[in-house]
Amino acid sequence: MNQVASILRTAAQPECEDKAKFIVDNISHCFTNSKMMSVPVLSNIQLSVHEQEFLAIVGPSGCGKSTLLNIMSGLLKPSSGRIPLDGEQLSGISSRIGYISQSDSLMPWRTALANVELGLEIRGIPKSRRRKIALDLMQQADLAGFEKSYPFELSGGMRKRVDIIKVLALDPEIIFMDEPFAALDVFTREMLQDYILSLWQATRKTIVFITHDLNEAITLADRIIILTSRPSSIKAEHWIPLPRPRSSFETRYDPEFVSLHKRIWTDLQAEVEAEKGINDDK
Amino acid sequence: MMTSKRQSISETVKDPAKHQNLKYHVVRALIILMFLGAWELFTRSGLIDPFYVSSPSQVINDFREFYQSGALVKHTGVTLFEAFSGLVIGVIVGILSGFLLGRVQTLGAVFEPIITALYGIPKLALAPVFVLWFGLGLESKVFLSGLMVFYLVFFSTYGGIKSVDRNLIASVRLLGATDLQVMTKVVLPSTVPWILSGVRGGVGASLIGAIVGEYMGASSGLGWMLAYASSFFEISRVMSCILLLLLIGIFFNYSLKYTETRLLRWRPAVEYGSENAGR
Repeated sequence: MNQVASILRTAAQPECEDKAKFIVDNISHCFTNSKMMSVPVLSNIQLSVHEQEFLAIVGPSGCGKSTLLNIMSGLLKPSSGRIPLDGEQLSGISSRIGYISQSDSLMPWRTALANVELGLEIRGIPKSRRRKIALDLMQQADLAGFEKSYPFELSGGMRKRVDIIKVLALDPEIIFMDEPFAALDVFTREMLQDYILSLWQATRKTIVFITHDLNEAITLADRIIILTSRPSSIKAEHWIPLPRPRSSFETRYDPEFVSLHKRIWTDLQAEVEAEKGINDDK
Repeated sequence: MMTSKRQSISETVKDPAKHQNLKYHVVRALIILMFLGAWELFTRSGLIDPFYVSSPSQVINDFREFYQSGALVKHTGVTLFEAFSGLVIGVIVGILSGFLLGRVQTLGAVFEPIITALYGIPKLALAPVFVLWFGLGLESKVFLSGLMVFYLVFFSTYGGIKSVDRNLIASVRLLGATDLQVMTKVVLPSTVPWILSGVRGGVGASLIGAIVGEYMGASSGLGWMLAYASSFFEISRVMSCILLLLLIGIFFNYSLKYTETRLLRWRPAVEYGSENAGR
């Protein structure tokens, strides 16, 4: 399996190899549970994210994917290991990283436009400038006409787009997405996948995308990293040589997609079953 | 028929609600008129002794006299001043201490049980003590009414702070917010509905505090007037005072509702039914 992965790697993204944007250097993490016992969640995670790469991290639910992303974004301090960005060790939350979470993080008392402006407001950008940036972004995200709407007046898909451009407004170098579409219905999810694909095509931002949905990962990513069940370590790495620009619909019927899916699924299946075993024991 | 129905689809969505509202208003007004009419009729016919219940016409007469003598404005002014001072003080102290205890862990852990315990004492039982401490003047009433408002506002603010969505705080932190910005951009706005519900209760409580304070010992105010008039069996005057309090209550509630809908436009309207459904 590893051999296949390395062959695909050189075929798909040969130029990326030496340009590591962000490195997760031997990260391990333990939680302390209610009985004051230390529970290992992540064990020796070693990975690098390349400039302009779309990386997906896939693992069974409850495997510690979100913990890993929280550590990468500086929300959580790892028990051990380092996370250098462009060779520079991060301490705490960095303005160079954008983070989109699974839950709805819009302020319900702010209009869509004011929500998009929030990050710029926090950075102290003058009002006229932040308004212009926010209006442009809303236009690009097909949200024109909803500037004055409150979140409760928007559909789930629209709220998510506002959430995404709120982060884009700050122009981060890397964007982390933690199962951003998990709470949405299938149609909305596919629309948003296309939105993310076009966004990546246009901006070429480095994106790290966490999901438990293998279809989603293959549709979006250049490379997929499979995590094992808890304590998580890296199980395998797969390159996705599907042509770009992609669309969620076209990609799904690509024969290559099916064979990739089958291959990666066998990796994943073992872990899902292992995780299920852990949960059944409880 | 069909075409006209089709043309007015957008109106038909709104119209029934409006129509329904009007119907409610009419029925409500009729019930009130019938009640007043029955009251007047029974007292005139001698079925009920007006000595105990007065009658609408007598109340109106007394109300006019009450107003023309200048007593109405004076006593209402005193009561409103006491209630309003109590409300302002109670709201300010309530919000500040709610924030302080809600945000500073140790303070909350130490003081919250004390406040809860003190809350258990019926405030009205303390009224005589306040008269003893602060005298028969305005101060004792302001204190009583302020204390009643304080509890309501404190508990609602404290509860609001404790239930601020952690996801929202995490999300602004990720956008680079400082502690102060977390406070002003997340904690404060998300506590507004809670504070408002405390204030809404506080308006009523401030009036109760002022009136009861005046019962205990005073020389002016609507509470004093009520107690005075009933001790002399001037039942029409008692009714006038009650009518006045009713009007004041309606006015306060209405202005509060207005403020609330203005401040909480961002929430789907559920509480006030069809009136706000459009927003």
